[in-house]
Amino acid sequence: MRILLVEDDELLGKGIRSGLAQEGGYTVDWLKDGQSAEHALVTEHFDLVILDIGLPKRDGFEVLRNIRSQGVQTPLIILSARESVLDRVKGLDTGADDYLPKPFDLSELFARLRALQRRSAGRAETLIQYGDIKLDPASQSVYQEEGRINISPREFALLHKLLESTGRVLSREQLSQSLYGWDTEIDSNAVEVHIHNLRKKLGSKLIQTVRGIGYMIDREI
Amino acid sequence: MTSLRRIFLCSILSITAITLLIAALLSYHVVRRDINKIFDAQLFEMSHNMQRFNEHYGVEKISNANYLNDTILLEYPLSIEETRHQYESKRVYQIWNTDGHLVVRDNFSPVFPISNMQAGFEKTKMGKIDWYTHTLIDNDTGLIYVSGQRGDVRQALIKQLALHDMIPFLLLFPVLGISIWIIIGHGIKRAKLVSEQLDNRAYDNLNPLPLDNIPEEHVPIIKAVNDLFYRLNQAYERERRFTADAAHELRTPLAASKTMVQLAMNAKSVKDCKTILEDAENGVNRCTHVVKQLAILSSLKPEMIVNVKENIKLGAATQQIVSELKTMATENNTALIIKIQENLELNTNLACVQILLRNIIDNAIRYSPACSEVLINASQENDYVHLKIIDNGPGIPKEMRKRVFERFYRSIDSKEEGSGLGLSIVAEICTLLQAQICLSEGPGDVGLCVCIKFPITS
Repeated sequence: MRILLVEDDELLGKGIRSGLAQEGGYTVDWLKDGQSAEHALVTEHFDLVILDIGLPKRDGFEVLRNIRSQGVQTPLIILSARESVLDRVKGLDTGADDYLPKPFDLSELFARLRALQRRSAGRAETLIQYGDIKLDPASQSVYQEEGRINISPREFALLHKLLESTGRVLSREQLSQSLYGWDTEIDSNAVEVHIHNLRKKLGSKLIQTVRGIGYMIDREI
Repeated sequence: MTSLRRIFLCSILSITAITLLIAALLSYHVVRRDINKIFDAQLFEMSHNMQRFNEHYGVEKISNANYLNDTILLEYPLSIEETRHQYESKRVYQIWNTDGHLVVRDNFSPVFPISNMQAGFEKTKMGKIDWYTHTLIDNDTGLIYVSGQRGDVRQALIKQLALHDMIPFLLLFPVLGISIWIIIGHGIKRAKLVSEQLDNRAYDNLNPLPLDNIPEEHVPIIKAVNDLFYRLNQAYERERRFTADAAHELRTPLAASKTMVQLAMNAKSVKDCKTILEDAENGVNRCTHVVKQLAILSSLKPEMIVNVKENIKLGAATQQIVSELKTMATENNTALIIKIQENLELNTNLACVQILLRNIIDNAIRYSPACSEVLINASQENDYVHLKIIDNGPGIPKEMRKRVFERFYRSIDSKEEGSGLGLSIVAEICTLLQAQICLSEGPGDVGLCVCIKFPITS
C-alpha cells in the first residue's frame, strides 16, 4: 500500500513514517511542501494520502482543491493542528475523506487509514475474502483453509494491492512503486521474486501474468 | 456606602440653612432698626400731640397745677401687664414744669422723671428699668413733654415681630428638603438605567454603552466606561488570539512527541527505544521553547514599558546577551563582533531591549554558515540610535520580509528549528518602544541586516 505523507514538521513526519513501517504493509513517500505534494499526486499513483494543512509553498486546502479538480481520486486524510469545526467542515467539503486533528493516537490514524482503504475498494467488511483466501489488513495476516499463511510484509503488501484491484492489470512498475516508493534502489526483478513466492504459498493459479504488461488477480465469479 | 442622594440632600440643605440663617439675621437686624424708628416716631408724635392738645385745651389748667402742687393722673382701665393689643407699644407720658414738678402723668408712668430732660430722643436707665424717651421742651409755656416706652416692652415687641418674619423660612425648610430629595431621586433614576444595562450584560459583551438619552453629566462616566470597555476588548481579543495561537502551535510538536512515545512503546529493542525517545525529547523541548516564547510575547504589555524606563548603556546590554549566546556561537563557529560606543545610552526598558537583542542575535547565529561572523553595531544620528545586526546567512527574500513578523510564520526553506515567534516578539517590542524595524540585505547583497531605529528618549 503506497502512502504519500505530506507533513512539514520533521519530527512528526519521521514519527508517522516509522509508525507506518512498524505497522507494516505500507510504503511511505514523504514530502514536506504543498507544491511538490500536488505535483506528485497528479503525476503518480498513491493508494492513500496523509495531508497536513499548514504547509510551506502551498496550503493543504489549496493542494486538496487542485488535485480533486484534476480528477485525483486518491483517498485522503487531513492531519491538522486546526481543530475547529469550521476547519473540519472546510476540509471535508474541499474533498478530504477524513479529518484528524493533532495531536492524535497513531493507532487511530492507522485504523482510519484502513477504513479509507476499505471504502475506496468498495468494501464494508474488514477482511478481504477471495475464494478460500482471507486477508486481514489490521493484523497484516493472510489465512487459507488450512490456517494462517506465513507471509512477509512485502508479499502481504503485494497481495493486498492485487486483491484490492481485482480484474485490473497492474504493471510491474506500479507494483514496484507501491512496494518501495522512491526510497530504495530496487532490483528490477524484485516484484517477480515476490510474485513467485506468493504463487508458491497460495497456489499458482491465483495471480496471472499478463505478458508484456504486468499482473492481475481475476475478478471473483 | 455613600449615597449621592444623601450627600446632595445634606449639603444643599445645610447650605440653604446657613444662607437662610444669615438672611434671617440680617432681616432681624433690619426689622429691629425699622421698628425702633417707628417706635421713636410714635414717641415723637406723642410728645408733640400732647403739646398741641395742651395749647388748645388745657394749658391754663396745667399751668395752674403748678401752683396746686398736684399731679393730674390720667388712668387707663388696665394695668401695664395686661395686653390690650398684641402689638400695643405701651407708651407712657409725663408733663413736667420748669420747677421740676410732675404736672401730668398716666397711671403706667412712674412719678420720677424717665428722661434727663434734654430735648430729643434718649435711652435712659431709671432704677432697674430701661426707657426709650422723647423729650419736647416748650419754652413758651415752660412745660416739658416726655413720652417714653419701657425698654423691655420694646425689646419683647421687636423680638416678636422679627421672629414672626422668620416663620415662613422655617416652614419652607422641610418643603425644600422633600423637593430636593425627590428631584435628586429623579436624576439618579437615569443613572440606574445605565447600571441596569450593565447588570444585564453578558460577561463577554464589551460593546460600548449607547450615549443617547443620557444626561449630560453622565456622559463623561459613560465615556470612561466605554473607553475601559474598548481597552478590555483589545486585551481580551489579544488574549484570545494568543490562546488560539498557542494551542495551534503546540499541537504539531505535541503530536510529534506523542507519536514518538507511542513508537517507543512498540520498539523492538532497548536501543531503538532509546533513539526514538531522544526524538520524543526533542519534541518536548520544542514545546517548551514555544511555551517560553509565548510567555514572553504575552508578557509584552504597554504598561510594562511605560512603568519601567531607565537609561541603559546599549554596549553593555549587547555584551551581556552576546556572552549568554557564546556557547551557541562557538558550536556554530560564528564570531560575534560588537561595535558600539561605550557611552551610547538609551532611555528605554532594559528587559525589552534584552529580549529583542537575544532574539535577533540568536536568529543571526542560527542562520549563519559555519566560520562566518555576525556584526552588531550601533550609532547615533540626531535623536535616534540605529542598531544593526548583520549576518552572512541566506537572508530573507524581499517579498517575505513583511510576513516574517507574523506570529508563527516560518520561512519555507527554513531548516532551523524555531517557534516562528522570535521576529514577532521583536516586532511587538519595537512597537512598544516606539522603534522602527527594517530588514535588508547585508553588505554586498549577502546575508540579512536587521536595522532598528530607537528614539533616544521615547
